[in-house]
Parts: sequence; C-alpha cells; structure tokens
Amino acid sequence: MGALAFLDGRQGNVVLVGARDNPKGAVLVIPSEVAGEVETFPLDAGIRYLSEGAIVDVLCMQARAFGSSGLKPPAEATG
Amino acid sequence: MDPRYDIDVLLDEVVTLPSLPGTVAEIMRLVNDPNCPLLSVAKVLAADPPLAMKTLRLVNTAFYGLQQKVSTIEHAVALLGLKVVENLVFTATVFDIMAGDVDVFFRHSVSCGLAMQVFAEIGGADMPVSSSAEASVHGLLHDIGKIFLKEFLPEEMALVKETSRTRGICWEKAEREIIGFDHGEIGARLAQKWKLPAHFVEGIRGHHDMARCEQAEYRPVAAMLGVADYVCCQCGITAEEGAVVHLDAAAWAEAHIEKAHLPTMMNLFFEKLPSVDELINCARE
Repeated sequence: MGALAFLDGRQGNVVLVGARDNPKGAVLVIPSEVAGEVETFPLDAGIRYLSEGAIVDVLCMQARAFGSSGLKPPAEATG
Repeated sequence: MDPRYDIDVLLDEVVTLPSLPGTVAEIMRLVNDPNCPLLSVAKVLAADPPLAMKTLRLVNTAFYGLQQKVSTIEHAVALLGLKVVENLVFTATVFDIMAGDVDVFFRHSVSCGLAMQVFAEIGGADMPVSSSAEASVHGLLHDIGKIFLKEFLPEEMALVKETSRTRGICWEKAEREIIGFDHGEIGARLAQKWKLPAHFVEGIRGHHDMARCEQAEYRPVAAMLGVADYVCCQCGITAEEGAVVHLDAAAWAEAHIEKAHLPTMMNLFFEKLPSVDELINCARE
C-alpha cells in the first residue's frame, strides 16, 4: 500500500495481501533495531503503532482492493 | 480574494431555503411535547399518505435492521418509539430534497449516515449522540447546504470544484475563498429555519472545522461527523468526484472514538454498506 509514519517515530510500510477476514491480509513492515532487518506483524497486532486516521486508511484501502462491499477499487489497483 | 457574498444578504436576496413540510413540523412539535400521546403522532403521520408510505418503506429496509416487518404507522410508533419515528419521518423528508440530486452526493450523504449509525452502535453511551437513529440523520444532513449552493450559485460552485481540483485544497476552503462561507454555514442556517435541535445545527456547521461551532458543547458531534465524512471519503464515497479531504487529528479524541473500537466499527460499516443501495432505491421510488 505504501509508506506510513508510525506513532513511535519509525517509518515503515503497510503491505496489503488479502481481504479483511484474512488475519494477515494487511501486514505492517517496520525496520528492526538490527540494521538491515525488518519486523513484520499483522495489522491487528500493530494498531498501537498507528494513528486512528492511518488505521482507517489501511482498512478502507484493504476493503476497496479485496473486499466485497461494492466499493470502487483504488486508482492504483485499476491501473 | 475578498469573499463575494455576505451570507445574510445572500439569504435575503438570492437563496430561498425550503420550509419544512407542515406534517413534519407538526410531528416534531408533538414529539417534543412530554404530554403527547403516542397515537397522536401516528394520526398526524397517517393523514399524509405519501409521507407515511415512504416512512414505512424506509423502516423496513435492511439499513434499519429490524427483525420483524412493520406494516402500520401505529406499529412503528409502538415498536420504535416517538423519537425514532420522528427521525424516520425527517429522513423521508430530506430524501425528497436529495433524491433529485446527483447520485454521488446522495450516496455520500446516506453512507455518512451509516457510518454515524455504526459509530453510535459500537461506541454506545460514550458517543455524542442520543441514538443510532439520530446519528444517521446527522450524517444524512451534514452536506445539505451544498444542494442550495449548487442550485443558486452554480457558476461559483463550478469554480469551487475547479479550484479545489487544481490547487489540491479542500472543497470547503475553496468555498470560503470564492463564495465567502462554506456549505456547513448555509446548511446550519437551513437547520435553524427548520427549528431543528442545536446539535443538528452545530453538527452541520462544524463538520469540517469544529472551531466553527458557535456552541462548544456540540464540538464532539461535529467531530464525529468529520470522522464519518473522512471514512466515507477514504472508501471512495465522496460527495464530489475527486474531492480532497482533510480531517483534524484532534477530531478522533473530540468525537470519543476509541482506537480499539475502530476495526469493529469499520467491519460493521463495510458489512452494512450494501444496505445503502436499498435505501437510495427506496428514496427514489
């Protein structure tokens, strides 16, 4: 999905790989304290690192890309 | 650029805001009378068959999620209570005003009502609304001022659209630059004319900027509307094609929306979204 600023000051990414009913459908990727390595965890486990607006952004993008709510896919998904 | 219009002058000389239909005004008066018998509201509503029919169609849509079919106004009043029926009647009336407008605007307003309803259901007593039915009406009404700006100031609103798009600024900011006030302000004037409770007036006025609420006690409901608006826009359900949306980070706390509740709220919102189509079809029958 793209880059995201986490509440603890780190910069990371959110990767959308599946629908909301898949626990690992949205994965947060944050640089580890060990240089060159990353930590990954599902959205539910990483909510504390995100602002409310970022949580909504991720869930809405996930629903638009993979959901069945009849929402228009995001522009980047339609090309 | 100097603002082009003074809202008071505009309302005196150019814009005619509609009056609330007599039946609805009478029902609002009765509901707010503590001595009002339940059946008197049902009688007033039944005397207006088109409104009564539309109210019954609305209450039986999946949007309201009732377990049983409601077939008479008396049944609706007994089952749902006066305040909910008042909100339904009001919704049916606003639908008549909105149903002729463009689809994206109507869909945004109804979806915002759904988001408000879901926030109220999950957030419960912490939320700044008294019921999910009232929350839904808030969402339905929040952008109503745009209808009148588009009707009476079409050239200015076309310029607002162009300015918002080319400069990447929020719609309401472009309105303030070009017209002199935003749709929240004229929507609030309509709500005042209809003698709606202050929480509706101030919610409409402050939904893009809580600081514009004239009474600080209604900032939380304005913030809640701002969040509902943001959620719909992030889902691609904008009132205007390609609109730029901004939400003050303080709105979440002001609206009492807890981060821990957000996934549940959003799941319920997504689950209920298909009911928006049914409601829109009902409004256009």
